[in-house]
Amino acid sequence: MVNINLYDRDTPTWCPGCGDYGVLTALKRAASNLGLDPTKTVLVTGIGCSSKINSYFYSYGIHTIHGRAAAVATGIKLSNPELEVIIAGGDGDAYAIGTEHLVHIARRNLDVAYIVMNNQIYGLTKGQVSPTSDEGFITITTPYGSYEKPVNGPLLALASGATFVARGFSGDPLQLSNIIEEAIKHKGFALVDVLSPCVTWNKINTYDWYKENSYQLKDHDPTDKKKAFEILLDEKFALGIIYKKEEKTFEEKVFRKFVHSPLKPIDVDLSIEKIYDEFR
Amino acid sequence: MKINDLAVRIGGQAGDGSLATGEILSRYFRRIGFYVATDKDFPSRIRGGHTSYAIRGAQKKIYSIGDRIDALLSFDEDSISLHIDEIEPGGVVIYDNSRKDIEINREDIKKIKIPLANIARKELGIELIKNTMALGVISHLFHFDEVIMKETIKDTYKNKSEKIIEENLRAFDIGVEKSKGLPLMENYSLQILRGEDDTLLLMGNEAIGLGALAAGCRFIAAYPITPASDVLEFLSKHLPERGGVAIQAESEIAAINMAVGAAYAGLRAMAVTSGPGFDLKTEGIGLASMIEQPVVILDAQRAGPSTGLPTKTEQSDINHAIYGGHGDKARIVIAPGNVEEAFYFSFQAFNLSEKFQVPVIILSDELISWNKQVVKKFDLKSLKIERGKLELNPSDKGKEFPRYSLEDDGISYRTIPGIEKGIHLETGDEHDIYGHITENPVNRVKMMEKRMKKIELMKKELFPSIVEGEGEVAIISMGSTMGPIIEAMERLPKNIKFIRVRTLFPFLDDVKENLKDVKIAFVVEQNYLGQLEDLVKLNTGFRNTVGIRKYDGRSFRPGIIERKIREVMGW
Repeated sequence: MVNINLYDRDTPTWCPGCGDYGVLTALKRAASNLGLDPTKTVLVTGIGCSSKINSYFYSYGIHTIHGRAAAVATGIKLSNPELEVIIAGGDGDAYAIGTEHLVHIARRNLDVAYIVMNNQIYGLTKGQVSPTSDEGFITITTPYGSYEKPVNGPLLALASGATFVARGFSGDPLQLSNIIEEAIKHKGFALVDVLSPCVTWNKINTYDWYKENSYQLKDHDPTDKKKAFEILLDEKFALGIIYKKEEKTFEEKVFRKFVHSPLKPIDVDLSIEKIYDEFR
Repeated sequence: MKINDLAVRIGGQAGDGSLATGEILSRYFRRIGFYVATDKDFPSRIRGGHTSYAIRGAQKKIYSIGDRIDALLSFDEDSISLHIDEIEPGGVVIYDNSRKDIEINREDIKKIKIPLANIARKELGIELIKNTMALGVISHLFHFDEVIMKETIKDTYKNKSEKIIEENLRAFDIGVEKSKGLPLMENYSLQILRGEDDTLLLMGNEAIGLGALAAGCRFIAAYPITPASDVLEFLSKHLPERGGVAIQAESEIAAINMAVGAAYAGLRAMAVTSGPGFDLKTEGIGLASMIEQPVVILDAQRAGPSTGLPTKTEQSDINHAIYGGHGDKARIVIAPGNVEEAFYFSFQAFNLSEKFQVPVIILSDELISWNKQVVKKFDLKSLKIERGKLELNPSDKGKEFPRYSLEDDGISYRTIPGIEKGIHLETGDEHDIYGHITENPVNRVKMMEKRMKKIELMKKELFPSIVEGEGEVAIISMGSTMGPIIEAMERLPKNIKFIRVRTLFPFLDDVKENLKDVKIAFVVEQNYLGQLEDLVKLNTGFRNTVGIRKYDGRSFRPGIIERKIREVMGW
């Protein structure tokens, strides 16, 4: 447990009432409970309102390009597995432009947590349809209603091999911070889908709407994968830890002998002379 | 009499083993002290289709298979129809007539028909071993040293079973045996020069992989693509034992972003690809420019656009390598001309990228990437790791480390996550000295100027052109075309100044200086639009250029360059 103020950084520029404030609070609380060392933590984000979160959370941070946070995070974690790497971003990043990376980071079971702030709309670009918008949802790019079914992000992650899948609600930062804490602690890939309302552009999926359309998981065994699939197929959003299982991480498989640490100085690798035999 | 210079083409259907035969032959040449150049020509499919592999060994330093071949070893009919005219008068064709007997219409060469596959099946029960048998035939005809050849075969198969080695040696002997009585190639003489112990035989992609390892590169991410995959394959084998990571990414885009992530975390990192993948990497390379992270990218060019000719060579990514992507950005683009340079450029690419905190693009082409050449063992003692302003132990600079501090030379101090007193942000958005997003116009101007300032600074440390010869007529080129150009120059009756450009961006001032007394310059390149010619004109103001261009996917031959220059000059 460290003082939560340690993680303060710039003042957020999010709209008043934005769901992402709840996520930031929850993240700080989780970090504080876990005693995360900001010098050994990297918050990797994509592009969008939610991806600005590392401007507001004190640690190493890299704000990358749209959709690619998970790929950049993979490079970081594999370069220095001792770092606590957390990915954060929006539903566009995770479930549209960057979907490929979600699938593959999940199946690799890389030991990172991915927090998706899902508001079912594109906020920063001012109100276009999102991959998680419901069918029929009217926006400036879907004036006749969306023709597409929403992507079920947590279900996709679970099907791809994620070993931790959870959903939180930014209207309940206390539960959310517990979920995020568990996700960070989890050894393996953890997806946390957060229902995080956009108060400016999404007048349908509001705090009240989410309250009505979600429920708390009770007496659920998160190691039951079949049940986890069922829960994720529910019409309503289940809140809590839906799936959790310990499996070997990608790093554990990759680094069988030792890890070359980037923190140490390097020299010309003279051992390449041993490879010369291949070329004779 | 042709002395110490022999070019052999081995042709057949994919799966016939032409590449394996060529591999042994090129290793033999290295062992007897020859230089080697090779050229692969095969279709983009796994089995079937005509494949051929040209191997030339010579006492003089060569980088090209030359114009003609001395021997054609053909396992299929296509080899005859496609390559029979390529044989030098006085040369030889060896045709395996097991599948089909055909008429060969050349009276000025020796014609040998021998049912190699049938013999192999009958004598050893393995048809594929006809390749090694064919080596026995060639060895006998050209008086190869059979002891050295057998050592070569043994060594090539040293990781295979005893049985396979025995079978191949036996096949070789049978080949020699069956050739007794055939007309010998008395008009050729190949001496044993030796001096082999300080040389290596490797292709450009392997040299790039070795250079990366030597430089301490410990991360590669790539998506399989011809002709760059060899580097991923090579490093997948050798990085784990060095505590590094080789990862086959889910896409080209993933690969570049993983490499950028690794570089940010402090590892020397690279991504390798070819044209189609390079297109997809453009945004990621832009990110590296903006956050000023060192990353090395190999673009082994192939014929484009789109999928183009996946297994054929071209030099048509020049514009993309230099200009690709939106916005003004600092980067380095270098083009090695041969396998030896591929190693040193790869090594230095990592130094340059860290010193200037920019992405470095190594622009090779399929010919360098795949061409096997004999090189002197690399001089590792001459190499030095230079990491520029990387701070692994920074002093306390406050709550946040000024990652983008405004220094006189434009290069800020850099630190990496995991380091105390190093916390900062990095972002592809415009940012202040701590990496925090800002749209302030004054800051924007300062940051832009800081990044652009590096371009002028890096010029001093980049690779100047290699100039050979003097004269008022010049040839300008980049990359693999140097081989045929050098041989064309030897045949031309007048002096020529050859300027080989090795740094494409930023373009160096030496090219202009070298053109001072030149009246006409031939720009040799493998593309249609003349991308190098445009680049030279733009940067030097020199106008009197003549393009010699090729875009059929096959590499230049000296004769094409020689004829064009004779024609224009009236020589």
